[in-house]
Amino acid sequence: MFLYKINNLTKTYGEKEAKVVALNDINLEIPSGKFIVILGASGSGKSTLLNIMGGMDKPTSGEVFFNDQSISKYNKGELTKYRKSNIGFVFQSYNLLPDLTALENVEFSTEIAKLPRIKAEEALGLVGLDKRQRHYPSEMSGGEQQRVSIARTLAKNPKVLLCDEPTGALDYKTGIKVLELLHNVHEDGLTSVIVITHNQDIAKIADMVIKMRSGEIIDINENKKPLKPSEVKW
Amino acid sequence: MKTGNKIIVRRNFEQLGAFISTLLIIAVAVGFFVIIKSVVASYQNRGEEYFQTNALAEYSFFGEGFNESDVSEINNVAGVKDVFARNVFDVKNEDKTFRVISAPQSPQINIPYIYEGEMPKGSAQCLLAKKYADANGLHLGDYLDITIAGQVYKLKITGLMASPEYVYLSKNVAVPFANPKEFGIVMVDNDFFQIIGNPYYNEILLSFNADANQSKTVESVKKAIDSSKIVSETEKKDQLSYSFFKADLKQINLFAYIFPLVFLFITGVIILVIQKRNVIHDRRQIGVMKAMGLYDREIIWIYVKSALLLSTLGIFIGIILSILIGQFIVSMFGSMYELPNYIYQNDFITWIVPALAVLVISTIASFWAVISVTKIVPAEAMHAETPKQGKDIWLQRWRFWDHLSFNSRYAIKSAVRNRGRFWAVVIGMIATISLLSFSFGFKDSLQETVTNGFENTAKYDLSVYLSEVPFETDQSFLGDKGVIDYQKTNLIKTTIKNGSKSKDVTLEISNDIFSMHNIKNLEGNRPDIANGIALPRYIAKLMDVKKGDIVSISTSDKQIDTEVTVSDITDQTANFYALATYDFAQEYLKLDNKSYNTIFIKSNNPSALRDKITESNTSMWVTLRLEDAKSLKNMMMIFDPFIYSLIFFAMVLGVAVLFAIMTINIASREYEFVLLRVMGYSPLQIIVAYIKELLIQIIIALPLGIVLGNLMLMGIGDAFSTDAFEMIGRIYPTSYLYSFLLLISVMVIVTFFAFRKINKLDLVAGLKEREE
Repeated sequence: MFLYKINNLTKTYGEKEAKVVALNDINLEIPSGKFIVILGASGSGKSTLLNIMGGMDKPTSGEVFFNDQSISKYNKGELTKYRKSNIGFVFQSYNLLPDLTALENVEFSTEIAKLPRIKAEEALGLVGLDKRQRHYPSEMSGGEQQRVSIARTLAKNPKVLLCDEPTGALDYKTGIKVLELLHNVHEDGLTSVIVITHNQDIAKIADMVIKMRSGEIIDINENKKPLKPSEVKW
Repeated sequence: MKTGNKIIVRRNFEQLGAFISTLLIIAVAVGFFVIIKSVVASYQNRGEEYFQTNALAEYSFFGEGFNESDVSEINNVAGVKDVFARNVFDVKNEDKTFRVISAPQSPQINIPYIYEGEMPKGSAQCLLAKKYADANGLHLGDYLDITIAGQVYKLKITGLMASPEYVYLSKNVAVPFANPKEFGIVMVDNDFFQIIGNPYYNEILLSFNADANQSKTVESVKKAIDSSKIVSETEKKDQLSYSFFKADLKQINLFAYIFPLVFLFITGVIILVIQKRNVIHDRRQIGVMKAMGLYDREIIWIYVKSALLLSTLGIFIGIILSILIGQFIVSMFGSMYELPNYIYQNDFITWIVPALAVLVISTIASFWAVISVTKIVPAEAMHAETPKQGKDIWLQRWRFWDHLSFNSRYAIKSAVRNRGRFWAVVIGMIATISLLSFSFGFKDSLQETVTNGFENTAKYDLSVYLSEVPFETDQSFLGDKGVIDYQKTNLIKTTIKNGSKSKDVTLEISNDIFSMHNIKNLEGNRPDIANGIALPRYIAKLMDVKKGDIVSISTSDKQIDTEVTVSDITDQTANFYALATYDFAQEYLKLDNKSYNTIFIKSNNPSALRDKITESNTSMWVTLRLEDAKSLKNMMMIFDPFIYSLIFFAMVLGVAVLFAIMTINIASREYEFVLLRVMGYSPLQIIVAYIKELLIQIIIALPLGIVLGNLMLMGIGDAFSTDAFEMIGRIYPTSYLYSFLLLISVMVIVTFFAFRKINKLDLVAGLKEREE
């Protein structure tokens, strides 16, 4: 059984002369329990693909199956339920709620999840931020914010972690720490992880690398010997 | 959702200016409504209880020569519970007028409320109205000197009292609110009247058994005694104090709706603006919440809860305010009435309506504002929103546009671009101007009523009221050199009926009414009274009568009992008289005797003439037109504190609305303002553009506010009209000016705070915040 099975997926924006094809007839099968990297330059369609897989956007045509269930025909309510029960997002710009402390941001997630895996305090402990619980996003560095974002996602107990350029706004050292965190989450068997990035070096830590260009998949490679995040340099 | 609640609380603190402003508007709306409704409820309860406990007469006969034999006869009439025959007369001592009344001993009618002391016994004691005693520094045990026909009577004050007849210190219809320093009620034992040689009664007051048919009982009473002794009669509902009490309840009640409704509407508008801005500001957060699995309804509920929190707090503060300042508001009207033991009681039942109204309005406004949440696609919300597309506006088609400065063009374009906030400010300004012009106009209308009734309409200086005498009978004082002109008139109390509608109206019969009254018909011409009777517009309106209609007219003694044509409608706004000539009255109304009971006099020295008349004719009652006008003005002045509070509340509304929107405006346009400053624009130049935007809004709001203010004033006209006067909605040009100036001062206050905010903007942080 595949985690995701994607058939003839197309996504366009705009109409007539302003029409932009973000994804063009994509077919893809993503196995469960893997660390996947989707690699591509800016405008290659990787974020659009991630958004559709995460139920945040709807395809123009084609079908997306998650655990053999077609999510393409889900209505808004069903998509929300899908996101709530299955998906954890990590964004490039962290997207923490600025009015809530680090702990409250995680608590917000556990309240939504109804059946959280761990308590908010524990989640923050996992990402090494147990001493920054009372701090607001504006009082934390980018790396710390991203770790809160990962803690928020972990606490929710998702089946898959979708990460959109999680190190894009971070310096090298902090980026590595975040990747280690994601790697550990995967290694511990907690969840499947899909990371999209334009950074080819990050792809070296993945079990599977999917390369995209101009809305199409141009290559899929299985990485026989993935590196540890600490071994990656850019 | 606990964490969602934290977002709400912190968000409200971030927008503290807008939050407090809205809170204030809600609190004023709720507080105002609760106070007014509670005042009405407690005033009504205590008033009714007072009239009941102290047994205000249910029916009164006024006349001459009533005696104990009449009392015995009336006591035998079925349905009569109690009879109180008494003597009442006014005596003028220099600038004071005393109304001397028999104190009820055994009969339980018009029982005085005794604050301290006891009922008078014998001929040398009296009960004195506490209001008069307080105003003149008199105390229990002091002596009151009353001079009657040159003889001074020393009366020991044995008690200080209030009377259910004088909840309002009404001397008569023309002087509905006398000055307590100059008009005192004195109750004396019947022995006093024996001493002054006045053993007969001139009033008979009745109360009825609960199961009695009042009109049949009254008819039986009239048959039981010599009805020629009865000059006039009054039901409880027409008793001056009682009718003012009822009218006041209606009028005060009306105010409970006008201001709170406007405030409530503005609350809805501000919540709408705040929440719309929140959704724009929180677009990304909403996207995240959706990505995390929050349903649309859950996100909407977070925002609605935020408005409900604001509303609940506002309701709570409003109720606290009503409890704290209710008694103070009531005391402002303390000089208007005397209701012993009246205590303002905050009626919790009155909380329900405004609380529900605020909650419903804020929920609807909030829901309407945040429904756009459902349109946000989480994937798109993660990215910065594309700035709104700039568009040419229609003004750009005109050549003058190119001649405008960048600052002016920027101000106009900003106004057009931020339509929601722009119109919210306009609506706030309309509300402020309308409430200000309404408040000032309310005062103007009262003033206009006095001016119209006593200055424009009345040409006479004195009115002399006397017992009816044949027309040929002359009065010696009419030869006085102080008399310039006079007109003998017969004022007859009649009942005019049109179908089921009936009204007691005084009929003025005179040879030349218009020599003493400047009365016009509705076309501005002299009314036609040759072919019928002329009715005042207000009375005609109440009775649904038009010019040319036929109505029935009768007097209680049936001397007049016929049908008559309404030949014209007049523009009288006070002292409502139906008008007729002697010739018409004798020919068509079948009035047998040509007589008069009133003389209107033009005088070159009214005060001196009044003194001369009253000194030599104790049975005549003289009033000066200017004193009547002053009395009515005094009554109108009672509304002054209320009017000033209305103006204050209108100002509060103006400041709150403009401040709330200004806060939102600057927060939303922070990026734009910072960018302008980074480009070299000074805070002053930005504020100038801001002021230009406000001026555009004023230009739009001013005429609409004035129209709305006038409409509101016209709407309350009927409620504030009484049998004594018709209130005509009028706003003087000066009031428009004051309203405008107050709005400008509101604008200046808010602009000052806006300038401070713009001056303090963080140039670095501001460039990272882009909402629109």
